Amino acid sequence: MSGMKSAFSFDGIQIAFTSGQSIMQAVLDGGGYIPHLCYHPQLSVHGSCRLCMVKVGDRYLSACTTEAQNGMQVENQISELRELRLKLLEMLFAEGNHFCPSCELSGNCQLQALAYELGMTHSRFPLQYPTRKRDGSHATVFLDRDRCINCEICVRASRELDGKNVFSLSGRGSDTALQINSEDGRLGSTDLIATDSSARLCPVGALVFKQGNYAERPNERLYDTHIISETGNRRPAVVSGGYPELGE
Amino acid sequence: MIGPYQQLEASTQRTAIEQLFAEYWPAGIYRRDLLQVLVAVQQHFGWISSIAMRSIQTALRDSAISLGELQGIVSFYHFLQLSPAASWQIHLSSNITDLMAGQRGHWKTLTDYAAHWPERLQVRISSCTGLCDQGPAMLLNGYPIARLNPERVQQILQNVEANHPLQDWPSELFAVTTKIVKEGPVLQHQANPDAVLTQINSCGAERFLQELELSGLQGRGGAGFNTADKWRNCRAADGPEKYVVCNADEGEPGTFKDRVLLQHKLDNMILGMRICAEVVGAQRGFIYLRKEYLFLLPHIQSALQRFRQQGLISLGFNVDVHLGAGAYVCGEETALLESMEGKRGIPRIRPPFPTTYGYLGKPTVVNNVETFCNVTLIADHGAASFRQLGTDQSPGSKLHSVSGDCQHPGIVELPYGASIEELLQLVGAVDCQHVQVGGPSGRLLSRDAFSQPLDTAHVNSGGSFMVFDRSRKIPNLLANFMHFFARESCGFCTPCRAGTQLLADASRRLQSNATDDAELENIREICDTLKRASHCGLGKTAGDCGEQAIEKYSLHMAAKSLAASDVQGIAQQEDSAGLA
Amino acid sequence: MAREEHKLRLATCSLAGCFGCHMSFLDIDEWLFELDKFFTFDRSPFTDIKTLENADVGLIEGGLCNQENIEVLLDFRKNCKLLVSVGACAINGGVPALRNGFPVEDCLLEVYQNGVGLQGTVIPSGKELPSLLPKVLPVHELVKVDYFLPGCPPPAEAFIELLCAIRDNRAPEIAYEHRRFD
Repeated sequence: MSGMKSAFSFDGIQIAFTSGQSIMQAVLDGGGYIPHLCYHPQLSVHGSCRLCMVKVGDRYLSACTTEAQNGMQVENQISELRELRLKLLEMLFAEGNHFCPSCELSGNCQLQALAYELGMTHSRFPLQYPTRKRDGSHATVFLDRDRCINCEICVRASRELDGKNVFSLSGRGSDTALQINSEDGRLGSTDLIATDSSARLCPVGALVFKQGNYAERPNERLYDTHIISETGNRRPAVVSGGYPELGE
Repeated sequence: MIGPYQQLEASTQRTAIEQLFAEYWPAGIYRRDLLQVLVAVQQHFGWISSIAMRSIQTALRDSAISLGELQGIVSFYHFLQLSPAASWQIHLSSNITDLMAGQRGHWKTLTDYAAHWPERLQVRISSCTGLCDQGPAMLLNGYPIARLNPERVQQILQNVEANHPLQDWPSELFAVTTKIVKEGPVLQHQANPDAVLTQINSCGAERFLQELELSGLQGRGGAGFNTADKWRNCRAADGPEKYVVCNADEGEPGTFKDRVLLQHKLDNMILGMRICAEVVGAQRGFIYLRKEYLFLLPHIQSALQRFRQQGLISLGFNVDVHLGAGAYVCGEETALLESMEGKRGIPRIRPPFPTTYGYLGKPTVVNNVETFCNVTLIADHGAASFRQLGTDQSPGSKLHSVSGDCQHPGIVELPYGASIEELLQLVGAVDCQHVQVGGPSGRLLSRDAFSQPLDTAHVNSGGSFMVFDRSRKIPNLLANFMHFFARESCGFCTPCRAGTQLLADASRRLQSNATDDAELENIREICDTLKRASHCGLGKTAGDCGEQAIEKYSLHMAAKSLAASDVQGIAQQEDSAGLA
Repeated sequence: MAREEHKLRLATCSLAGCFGCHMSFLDIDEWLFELDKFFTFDRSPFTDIKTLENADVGLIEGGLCNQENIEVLLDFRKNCKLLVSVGACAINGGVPALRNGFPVEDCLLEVYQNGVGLQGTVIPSGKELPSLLPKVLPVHELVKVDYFLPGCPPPAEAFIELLCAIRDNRAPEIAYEHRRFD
């Protein structure tokens, strides 16, 4: 390798990167933050949530799927992108059933945390109230599809980190749904165990543990007090079945 | 042709499936064959039963697949179904031109019957079946029936009622004929395959690539990418294993020119693929044929057989047909490749592009049917002759599939640069107010834009041209197109998955006039989000389409409110907004 | 009650809500005295005034679950200069909207006839009972809403900021720690 240093401008700050890194990787490595839900540093790139849209020149690009280029001028914290991300968040809230008051992950949820940070108060889009199935068949892990955002973090984590193949997606368009790869389609019939990464990385409350919830008091949970752009995407050990977080 | 579908005992079914596999996949089934296997099972049995899925699981040679994953693939494609088949399966084409020709009435007649006799008949909606010039149309057990009218629908129901074997149905019902309104070089071209190939061999791949470069040929599928550049990238790509794919997944509503080329210019197309293989160094070709065109399969296969016998395609370069299963998004080349690999048709992240990372990760050229026909034309007559037609930026000619409110719906081949007006005159479109050029993902243009030229620099088109007279209402167009996008969104990315559904709902309210300014603003914001944040072209164009329609609608409403205040000259304003 | 002309008239109501938002409102405690300097209550469960006319601000708790909710909401929209959706239920239907996944008939059967321990019961009906909507809806899907105060319930501080902002004729800015969806 040549000794040439590669860097791009991110909201005016120089970010160093190694060849082949995406804008997202370089920014996170450099201690910065770009909103994201479907990206996880230990998993293959997905590019579906679109919250990491950044602006390069007059082009809108997803930071997780775009390779960093030397001298690139990347804009992130601009009002135009804030508004775009807000609309994407509102779409996610509108297409699912996100009843935070009754959700185990409230306060530790990345979707909610992004909404807090961007100042979302409601969804301007008509709520769809879809009818989706829940799955309580597993001894320790509960699946509530109402809260699923189809980010496929669990799908990828199961295949890439756990060496299993527990999840996949079925259907298409707005009928897309998380599916369990067992003969009877139930989580309890799979080889999923509580220590699996796939059970611990869900950014929302779609996959939660059956025990140990509501251990923290309101106002003391991670995103009650911390802004996600400062802490990064985290699911604290207390809601990850007591297992330490898989680093981001 | 298979019908009626029958309920088979488990053991009979298992045996039949095993026979099917043995006949078509004697060497065993591999992961990449999965979609083809599913399509075959669907076509033979009318559905994918759990017995069938288990048989597939057992037969797979190279990898294990769980039932869940298999269901995930089946549920992605419209023409594959997990529920037991009725004896007869109808898919009614729901393009706007079908609706304009009375499809709603047929929908009612057929669904009323199906409600009484669910085990006999099942009726579903499909996106455009590529028969817009002879709509309304349907697929019956996978085979097209065009020119539906109440009498023909009754005739169909009588045959359903009598449960006649499909091959005994009047063959006239299944006739698909298209009027060629105007021919150009592509439709007139009669190539001598031997002569063309000899010429290519003698001049060499590099020389031909230079010729192709000189011709300036652009892809005819809609994106208009320079064909020589694409081929050069693939030729330069590393690795001995390369593929040529012909995209015959003509899914854009209103388009049927590829069907006509497959019917009439198939040899030229195959020849084009052969030339491409020569240039890029590919050993294998695929024709990705949309399932709606299943009726063309015997015709294509016999042509391929003939080519093989004549040694024009051989072990050095063989071509196979790969059937789609009902997914518009698979017309996007990377989704098409995923589908060819037997997966859900989710568009890939680009780059890498197919020319370096395509089918099975190998360098692949994907070109449209019409593009390959043009390649053969250039190989035969040379770049100079090719450039005599068209404009500097868009050389050559373009096929337009014309449907809607005109006297002569059909195929028009025009040099690039011809105006919309010229085309409208050729097809006898009197009183035309709007045209949708390039289908829902193209542009909605009104009279003030009819002088514009049809070429890649001005009004670009993949070949769909739908004509609307003054009786047609913008909200109805919008609702049709938005339901189309919602039905066809792959569901991968947030804006398209959620946004197309929101737009479909909003357009329904717009149709019933239940929309206020706040909602119009919401529609604009959804469109804007789709345009800026979507993963692939489908979402981006869905946003574009909605935006154009809303702009025209608002203009119309503004004109209306002016009319209410009795301002002079309102008649002209109404006219320019193009709505009565 | 005599009209206090210099004060802004504040109305509140609870549609398909639990009154938890009203309780949280009262958590402003001694700030009530501050409130009294520039607001006076109009129609509200706090005052028991049943009619509404020319109010400045209307706070709506709860979503829309029946015909009466719609009537009340339309009355509020007509008679309030500013309308504020308060709390999760007003904003997204909240807990009552959990019924949206089921047909209304099934819900009624479950509650009044088929539920555990029910015998010989009937589903209440009668003209005096407002009919249920097929789905519980957020307030802003029926009328224009000017501001939203999320939370289940919104914390008292959020109410204070909202009312201060309205008093000062500016848009409310809820501090991060008071932005709550639960």
